Parts: sequence; C-alpha cells; structure tokens
Amino acid sequence: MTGREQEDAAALWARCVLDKNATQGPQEAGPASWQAAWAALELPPAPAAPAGFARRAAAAWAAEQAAAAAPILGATWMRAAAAAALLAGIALGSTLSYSSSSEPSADGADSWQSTSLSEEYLSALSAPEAILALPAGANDSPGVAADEPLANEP
Amino acid sequence: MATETPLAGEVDADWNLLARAVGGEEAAFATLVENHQERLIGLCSRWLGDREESRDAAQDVFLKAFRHADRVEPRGRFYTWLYRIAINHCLNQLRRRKIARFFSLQGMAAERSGGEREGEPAGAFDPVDRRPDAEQALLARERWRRTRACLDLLPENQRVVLMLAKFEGLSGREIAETLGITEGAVESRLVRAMRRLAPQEARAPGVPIKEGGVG
Repeated sequence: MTGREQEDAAALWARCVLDKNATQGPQEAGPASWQAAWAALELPPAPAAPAGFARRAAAAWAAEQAAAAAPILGATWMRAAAAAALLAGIALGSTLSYSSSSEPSADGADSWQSTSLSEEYLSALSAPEAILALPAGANDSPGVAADEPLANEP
Repeated sequence: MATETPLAGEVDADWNLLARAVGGEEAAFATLVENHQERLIGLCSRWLGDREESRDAAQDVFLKAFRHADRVEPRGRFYTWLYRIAINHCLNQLRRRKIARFFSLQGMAAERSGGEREGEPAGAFDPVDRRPDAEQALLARERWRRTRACLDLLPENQRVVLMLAKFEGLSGREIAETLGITEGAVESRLVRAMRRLAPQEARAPGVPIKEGGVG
C-alpha cells in the first residue's frame, strides 16, 4: 500500500465515521488497525441524571438571579446611609470648630503664636549687633573650655 | 432528548425555550434542562471521569448558558452551543485539576513514587460495574483505563473531535458547528488522532504525521 493509498483510506474512514448517511461504518472501511483501535475505545457508561436535577438547576438559577439583584438594592440604602453619615459628620465638625474658635482663650496661650520661631531667628540674623553682643565662647562648641580648670582638679 | 436536526433555515425550538426561560418562565427552564440533562451529564462524566463532579459541571453549564443567553445569536442547533460551553467548562476543570495536582503535596508524592497509573486523570472514578461476572467487570475497567490513557496521548484539539465523534455520536457537521471550525478541519483532526492511536503499520514509511491545528 503506497502512501497515497493510505492517505485515501484514512480519509475514507474518517468520512465513514463523520457522515451519518455513509453506506459503510467505521468497522468496514479504512485501515484494519484503525477499525480495531476505534472499536477498542470504551468509557464507563454515563450516570443518569439524578431525580430533581432540573428543579435543582432552576433553584440555583433563581438564587443567582436573587444574588445579582440584591447588591443593587443594597447599594441604594447603603449609599443613602453613607451620605447621611457624611452630612452629619460635616455638620458636627463645623459646629465644633465654630464654637471653639469663637471662645477666647483663658490663659492667653494664643499670644505666643503671634511671632513664629523662624521669624525671630531671621530677625536676629539680620541684626549684626546681635551677633556682636553674644558672650565670649558662645560660638564655641559646648563643653569645657581648654583653660578652665575641671571641677575635680585641685 | 432534543436530537432532531432542524431543517436549513429553521430555528431550533430550544432557542425559543431559552428566551422564555431567561424571561422568567419556570416551565420553559425545566423543559430545556430536561431536554439536555442526560447528554450533558454524559459528556461531562466522560471528560471529568467523576459522577458527582459531572453533575455539578452540567449544572454549571446550564447556568453559564442562561447567563450568556442575552448575548448569543440563535443560530444552528441549540445543543451544539451547549456542547461548546460544556467542553470549554470541562477543559477548564481539567486544567485547574492539573494545576492543583502540581501544587499539592499528594500529587508530588505520587509523581515521585510513580504510584499513579499512567494516563488516568486525577480523581478518575469508574462506577461500580453491575455485571455479574467479576472477570468481565475487571476487563471492562481495564478497557476504560486503556482508553483514558490513549486519549491522554492526544492533543486537546484532536481529543475533542475524537470524543465528540466516538462517544457523543456527533456527525462531522455537528462537530464543526460545536467547535466553530470547518468540516474539513474536523476530518483532518480525526485522521491525525487515529494516526497517533493506531499501531504504526497503518502509516507507510515516508508518510509524515502533520502536526499543528487546522481550522
């Protein structure tokens, strides 16, 4: 059997398998080894559908539909509740801030904030006499001066 | 079972049932499921090899079909569309199973010891054979095991065609419609599948096996 003949036999066999109106079945056409291999293919019988399968599927579909619809409803009331909570929070926050700013401070704690520390520092730097007025050794690193005797020394 | 082939230009009545079922008609839903449940459970059990899993898979396939009902164009036979969903679902299940087996300690141990039978899908379940003769039952189980091993040798696209032709009894046209390929591609895949399965003497020396998908 040539290669060409085998190709033709294989194609004929496939047509016999795939064409329901074919005059020959897969056990009659094609290579003998294919006929045997085809016949040997076998799997366990399919299980029957359990009783109430359709009802169970319908229930699963209904549950899925209900679950799909629930978040939409939930989202509406959840959005409303979230919006109400937000508005209440804003109202409470503004009321508290208004009441605290309108009351004068009893101990004058606000006065120290009138000039900031950085402003003071910059003004000190801009005044040259301020540097000259610094005490001797004020620019040195902190610690004991070289000529100063230690407290424990006799 | 709705196995009647609609004539050319005729719309499969099951498409109308689907539209009615999605519209909330419970009777249409039940009729549609009852029309196809046996075939679908059979197909899933042959792919997955497990009874319980195949029933769950069949239910999932119905739910998927209803979920996509508004997007499908009612063309051709309803059950070929259902089969397409079922095959994709089963292939995904098998892939997931393979990944799970790869990462499970049990799978690794089985691979190391070589305890798992070659070609048998994980969790494959053969039902209890009711044949009175124990020897016959044993032989049948051995044939099922061998068939599974043979099918595992095939690439996915060839295995699908062979299983639809052999075990579902679909014609070339129906398989083409199910898979969305040409009838020529179906024939080609079947021939290549058989070249892999059948003993080598069926192929003359110098006749190469063509690899790669068609269609």
